[in-house]
Amino acid sequence: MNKMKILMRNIALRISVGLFLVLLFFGRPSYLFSNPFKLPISISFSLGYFQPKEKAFKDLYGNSNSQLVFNIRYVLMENLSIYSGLRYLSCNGETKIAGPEFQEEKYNLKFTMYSIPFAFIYSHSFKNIHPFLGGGISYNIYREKWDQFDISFEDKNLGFFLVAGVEYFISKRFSLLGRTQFSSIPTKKGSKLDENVNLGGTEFSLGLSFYF
Amino acid sequence: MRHKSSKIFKLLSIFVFLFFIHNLFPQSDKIKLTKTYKKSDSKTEIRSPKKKSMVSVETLRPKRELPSKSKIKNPFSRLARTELIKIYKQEDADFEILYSPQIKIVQELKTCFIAQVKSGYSSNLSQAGFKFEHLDDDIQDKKYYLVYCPSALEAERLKYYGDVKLIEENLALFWSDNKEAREILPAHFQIKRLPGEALHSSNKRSLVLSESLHPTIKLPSRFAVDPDVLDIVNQVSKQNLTDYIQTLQDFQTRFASTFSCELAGDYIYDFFIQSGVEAEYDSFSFASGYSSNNIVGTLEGQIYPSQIVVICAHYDSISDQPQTLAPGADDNASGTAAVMEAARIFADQPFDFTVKFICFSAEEWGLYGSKDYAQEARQRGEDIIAVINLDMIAYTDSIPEDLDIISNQASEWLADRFFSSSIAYTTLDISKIVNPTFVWSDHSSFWDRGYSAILGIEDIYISNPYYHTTNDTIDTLNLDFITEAAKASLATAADLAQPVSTPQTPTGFTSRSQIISSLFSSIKTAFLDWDSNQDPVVGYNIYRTTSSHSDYQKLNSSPLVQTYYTDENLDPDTSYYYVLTAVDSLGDESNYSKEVVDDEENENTNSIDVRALSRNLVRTILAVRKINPWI
Repeated sequence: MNKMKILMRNIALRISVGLFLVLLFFGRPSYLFSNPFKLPISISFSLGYFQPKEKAFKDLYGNSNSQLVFNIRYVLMENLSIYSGLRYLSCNGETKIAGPEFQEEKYNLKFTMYSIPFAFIYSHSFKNIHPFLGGGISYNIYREKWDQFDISFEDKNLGFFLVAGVEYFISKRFSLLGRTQFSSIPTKKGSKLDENVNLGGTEFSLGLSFYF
Repeated sequence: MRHKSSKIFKLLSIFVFLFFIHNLFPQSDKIKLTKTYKKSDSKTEIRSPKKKSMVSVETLRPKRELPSKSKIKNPFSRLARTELIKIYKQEDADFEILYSPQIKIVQELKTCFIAQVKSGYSSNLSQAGFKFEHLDDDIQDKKYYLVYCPSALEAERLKYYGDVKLIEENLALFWSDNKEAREILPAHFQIKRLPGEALHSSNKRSLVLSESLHPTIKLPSRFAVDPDVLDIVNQVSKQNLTDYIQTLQDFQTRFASTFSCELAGDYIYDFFIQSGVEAEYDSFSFASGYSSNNIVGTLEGQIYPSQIVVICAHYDSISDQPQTLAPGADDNASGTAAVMEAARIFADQPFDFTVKFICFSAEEWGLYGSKDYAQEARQRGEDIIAVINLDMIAYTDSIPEDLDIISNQASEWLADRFFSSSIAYTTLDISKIVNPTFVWSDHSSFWDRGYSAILGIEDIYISNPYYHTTNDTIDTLNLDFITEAAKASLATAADLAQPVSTPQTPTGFTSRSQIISSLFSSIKTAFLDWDSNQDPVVGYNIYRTTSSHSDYQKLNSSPLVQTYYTDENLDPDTSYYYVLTAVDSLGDESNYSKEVVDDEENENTNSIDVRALSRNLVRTILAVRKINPWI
């Protein structure tokens, strides 16, 4: 059963990447000809914070954690584009005692996660303001490490998310970007604190986009 | 519209009524015979009592009685009936379901469990990946017995007396309404009354098929010949053993329910008192109307009186003329004699742990005496660390004869200890056999209640031709063999109870543990505490194991000066067991303390205590010193 799931995931991932590459190199969107920009591609960098939805995550690493997001967006047609990129989340925390506690005992923790999103975005333009809405899947690689002991845990999981935001064009090629994202990354793994951890949550970020 | 809805209402009422009628009355036998379970691959058929095959020895058949009142089923009982099923052990199944309240496991065997299940719940077992087989659809007003059937012929003969289901090779489930099996079955059948109570939760519900005729034997990591134990072994007297057997045989019969059985009990009681052991009668009733006594001798431990080592045997007997003549010299005056000799010799020796010498009654009726005792011991919360049960230890069918030691998986450590003691103190050969299906003596009652127990027996397959006959007399026995078997048993019991020695065994040993977690990993820390020794000692050694009572590994490289120890970075899903020793200035080590499991005191301590806080302070200072060596 698990093998079947993995196979289906791999097929879905390969089709998505293939579709992205085909559109990137061979697509001829009509928007290209009416667009003042030469290429239908934009990149953006944004900084923000992540609010986990899992209580165990909040208990261990706090309520909000900073993150860095890089996105690349390809315009398919006038209102529709696809995007991918990389999100980097890093946070420090402390262990908790699960069950009866007899002595105070804490160890330092470090958690890092890399997410590669793939999404479809619908956008609309009102002069300089371009609100957008979209959804997609993410491929997440994460690692948790204990400082005092040689204990670490690494894994990879697929997740899905909804994204919404707005771009404000300050020039022909640059825009200010504000976005929020709701994600769910079920891991089906955990510890004595929580047997089934979901690494999803809510993200808020602000950044700058550049259109080629 | 109104007319239409009333029509629907009428139809619904008829449907509900028919459904009720269908559920109220039991299905016919014909339907029962066709009842099969997809997941079951057993060949044992579900038979109707009326469909018994014709028998060749018609004289053996007792008169069939008219159905009693209890046999006429109350139609309403079907709504809340309990079934008896056999669940096959399977490694790949989700065994968590075996702990659900709807399933009461009453017996563990080699390849399966026997369980009581609420009607209709058994289908959940299939979903959990267990194969199961239906044994009886309503347990109400029935007494079930496990019966040893060494051959197919014996199994066939058993069917003349009641209902039979083959459970495993050589083992059948037998019942005949509410009748006592011992009152209707011939004497040669070995029986055990199937417990009505669930197995104790500490029982290992191993899903692994558990029989190994040549299992590995693990010798203790720290073992030396103890002069006190050697002295005990040297005191075992062949003449005394002979005298005890002769005296027990002279009661003519010790069949439980007879007056002479009670006289035999009085003789054992008096013997314990005269030996200097505290003795008591432990009364119990059995077989609806009879009562008898277990005879319990107690020698209280000097250091850990709550830790109990039991050496036991049944003193009742049986034959084909049980009311008048059942000498039972081998079965089981021999085991009783060894227990009596243990009481005589141990009485002069102080031990760290309490030793109990128990002679059970009504074993031949289906282990009633030991069942009653083990059940009450568990209810009292008695910490019985080991049970050595001796049953038939004096007949030899060949020379040299070895003593078979039978254990279940949880008691393997005890069989290993018996083996190592035999090597160290006697010339006796031992065969270790792990077989939870061998339930034909009193050790089985202790297995059911989650205690470690072993059986010492001359042969796992009965080789004594006088077994359960009027010819089981002392002149058929090998008295040299019983002397060696008694020596090995006493050596093991003494080794487990630990003769008091210097330096004194450390006291007040306790353990608590807590689990520390991150998002994806957890570890466990155990906090061990003990009292400072009264005798001058240079320190303490801590030993740890993950298999209770065996394979202890020392944790500290040099003796610990403080009276606490913290064991960190442990697997949270594993139980860790610890023992402690004290070391004196000559380097001599004391006996082991009692064994504690890492979370033993968790329930008794719910908050951070002052002692723990002060220890924390010491740890902080040490940590600071690591950073700044000038402090």
